[in-house]
Amino acid sequence: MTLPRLSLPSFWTWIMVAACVMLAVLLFWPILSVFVISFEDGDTGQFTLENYVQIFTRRYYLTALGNTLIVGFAGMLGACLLGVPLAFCMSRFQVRGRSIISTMAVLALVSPPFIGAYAWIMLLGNNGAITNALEAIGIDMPSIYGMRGIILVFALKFFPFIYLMTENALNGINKSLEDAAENLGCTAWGRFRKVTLPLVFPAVSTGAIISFVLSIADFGTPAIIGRGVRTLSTIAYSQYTSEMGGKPTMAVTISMVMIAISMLALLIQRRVLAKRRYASSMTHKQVKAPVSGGKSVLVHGVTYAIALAGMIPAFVVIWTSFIATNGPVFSGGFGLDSYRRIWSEAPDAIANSFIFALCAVALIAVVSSLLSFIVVRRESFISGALDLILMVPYLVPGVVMAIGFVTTFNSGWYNLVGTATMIVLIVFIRRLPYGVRSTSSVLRQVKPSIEEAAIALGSSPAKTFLKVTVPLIMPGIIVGSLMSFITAINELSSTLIVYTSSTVTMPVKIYLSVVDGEFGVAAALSTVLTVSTGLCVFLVFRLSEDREANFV
Amino acid sequence: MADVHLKSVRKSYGSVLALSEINIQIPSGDFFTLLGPSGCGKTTLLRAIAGFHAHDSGEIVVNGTDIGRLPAHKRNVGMVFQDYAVFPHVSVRDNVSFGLKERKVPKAEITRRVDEILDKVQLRPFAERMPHALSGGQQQRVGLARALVVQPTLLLMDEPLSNLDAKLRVDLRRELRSVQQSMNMTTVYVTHDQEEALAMSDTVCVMYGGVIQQAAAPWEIYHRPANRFVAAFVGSNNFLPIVDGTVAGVTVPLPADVPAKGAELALRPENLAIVTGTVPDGMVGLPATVDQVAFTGREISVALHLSDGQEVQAICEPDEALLSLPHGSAAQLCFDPAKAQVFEADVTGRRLA
Ligand SMILES: Nc1ncnc2c1ncn2[C@@H]1O[C@H](COP(=O)(O)OP(=O)(O)OP(=O)(O)O)[C@@H](O)[C@H]1O
Ligand SMILES: [Mg+2]
Repeated sequence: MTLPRLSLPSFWTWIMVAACVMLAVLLFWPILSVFVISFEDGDTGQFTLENYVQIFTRRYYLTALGNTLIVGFAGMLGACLLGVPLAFCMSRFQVRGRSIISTMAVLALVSPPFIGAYAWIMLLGNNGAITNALEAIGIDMPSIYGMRGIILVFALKFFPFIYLMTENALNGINKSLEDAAENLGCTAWGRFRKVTLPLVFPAVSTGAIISFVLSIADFGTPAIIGRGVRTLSTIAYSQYTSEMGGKPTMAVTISMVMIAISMLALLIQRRVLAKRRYASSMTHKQVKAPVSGGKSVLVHGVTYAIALAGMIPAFVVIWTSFIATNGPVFSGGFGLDSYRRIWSEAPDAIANSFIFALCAVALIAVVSSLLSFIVVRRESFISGALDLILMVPYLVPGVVMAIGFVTTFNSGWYNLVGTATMIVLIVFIRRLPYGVRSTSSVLRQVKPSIEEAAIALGSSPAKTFLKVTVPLIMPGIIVGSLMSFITAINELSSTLIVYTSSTVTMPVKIYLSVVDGEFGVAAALSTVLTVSTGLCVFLVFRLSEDREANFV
Repeated sequence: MADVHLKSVRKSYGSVLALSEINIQIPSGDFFTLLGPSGCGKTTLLRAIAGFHAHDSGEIVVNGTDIGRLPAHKRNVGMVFQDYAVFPHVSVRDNVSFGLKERKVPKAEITRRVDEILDKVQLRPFAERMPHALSGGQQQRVGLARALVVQPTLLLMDEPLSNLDAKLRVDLRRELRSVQQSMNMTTVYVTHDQEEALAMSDTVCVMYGGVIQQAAAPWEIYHRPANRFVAAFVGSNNFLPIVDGTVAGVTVPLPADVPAKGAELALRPENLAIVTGTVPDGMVGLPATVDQVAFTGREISVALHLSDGQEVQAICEPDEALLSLPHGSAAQLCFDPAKAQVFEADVTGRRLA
């Protein structure tokens, strides 16, 4: 018997094989080597569980583990407390300037958290603007450094996730359900608690889990504003730098613990969601109630306060970047000294950032369009698995990915340590899911019959993909590329581990400047980053119909 | 132009058998229609011929060579899709010339052939338009022109008219058929609209449950259905159980080999007459009670039940006397035994007479 052959044999089979090889090399090998090394003795290389024993017994590690969980949960909680009310006000009331608020939320979302951390120091730190102003009138501010600062930054950074997801879900609730509850004698509060909240719970919890995973993975914030408070990502980094030269056994063991926490969080969320899947039929759309008088003041006050709070870091860095400096000291008045300094001291950081990000994005655009075709169009075990595998980069913190790359690609012909290639590849694999997600959502709306028509007319599968599929999914490719560009150019945690003097990027330079107290330079570079990021957001808004949905 | 021969084609999706032992012979230039209820495997068979999915076993022989294992883009089989599948990002002209460019036809000839085919489907004035500025019917003509212009060996169409409104469907049906005839193109056409199938085809092939029930000319299919399924699916039919040579207690002249049990008499509604007086010579009369009489313009449709409670539909010439029959009145349901058929009682039961 002849075996049945697939309709599109060679080309897509090759691509599928290539995709598997690529993911195996760039994703699983580094993670596996981190995994293996975590069971090795640092000196002898023998198998041992000692590393894990240390983490779960020594104060130093246990404190960091505790701190990580605390900032993760508190950051998530803070983000919920800001995001859910904002979403509720925006979806149920006629708020003026809605698009301003949602734009601010998106901008807050895409700006890197370390800029937030450092902006809050500029305001509330020992020598911060607000601290000094309050001191002048005799009020002593509590310190912003430590746990408090980290949680503040995380809450303000991640609330937009929860806001955008919850608003979407709230708008999707059939109004008849709430009307029915009212008709059955439920008070407004009871209705919210018993009907609305349970229905948006899946969305809130998804947003919350994303906030949690990103909070525990974040390196810049605790490093900048944490002072004595260490988290797993900061100790992984310091362990890695102190173990430099030898095997980074403790650093990778910490990494494994971080991956485990992220996976656990995701599993719990999946478990919770599995029990709450609601079929919904939209017959009766939500209406936004007009507000007036005191209620209007309250609603507008709450929404604008939350959205503006998220934007404060951006305002602060832009403002600070235009303050005249004399060396590291702000000399009062306005001037372009900071820009002059970055132009003379850090032109390569700016150039590197753009070059690396653009290279990574070019790779992402090509690979993600091929991958999304496999995921969407090919019905096979592998394409189903790919969909799942592409979740992995979301779960692996940047510090971990970088350590994985350094421990993997470090000898022979595949020695990439210290090269720009390594930075580009790390960013590529970390941001690939953004590209795939955006392209595949567009591809799902292209009817397969259009491609079949081309095939029936004699066009080979590869040519059909180029001439028919790619033009049709171009909007998705562009939006995906912009999204990955935003995250690529703001990448700090992994780059900080693998950079050398010739591959410094803007986020690294900002981090180093903040550590050195060079706030002017940091502000000017942050402004460049913020403006390029803002530009991309603007383009995404222009090019895409469902604007905010791209960002969550 | 090509003759097509499918030899024992089988296809299953996991444990679902979608096609079992399909054997069909389609002569060159034939308009061959696959007709059947939803889920019977029409699309599956068409896509196997086009090469969009692999069949499990069997041969698809076109002009003497088995194309069943060639990749889809090498089969030179034209396809017209239910959802038009017009490339939305290029103009009508570029849509139609797509396949010619693929075949590296010289530029001048492309222009000539595209113009020619656009004339044929009456789309010449729309050549430079983008597809979103066309109506559904016009888009489907683009789909047809695009498939025909490359002169495929075989044209496949999967319910190409089902997204169009009723009037346009009839117009485009004629047009499709005349284009097909003028090019003498072997065509496999899928529909679940029996009127469409009967009106257009040289051969109608009725499918059910992945099995071919009968493939024959429309007249043959309608008047000499091979089994009970075809008799029930094409046109309408009343099936009355035969018990010991009688139907509803009345003795009916039947061929000798009809068994005492397990057979049914099939009566087309249009072959029934309703009389209130005596039964005409040569006809058999079954006593019945009138339930409802409905006038639909061209004809009158009457619902009755027989003495044993079985419901029967009849279609009669418009007749005012018939229309005024009150509900519940007694009548004789008459039929010509020569026009009655006998089937085994199974869904796909054999025809016995
Ligand atoms: N991809 C698939 N996986 C599993 N089963 C399938 C698949 N495609 C079709 N089937 C099954 O195969 C059978 C035949 O399907 P097919 O699409 O050929 O029907 P059809 O005759 O074209 O029906 P319709 O008139 O509704 O288009 C159906 O029972 C269907 O459920
Ligand atoms: Mg079908």
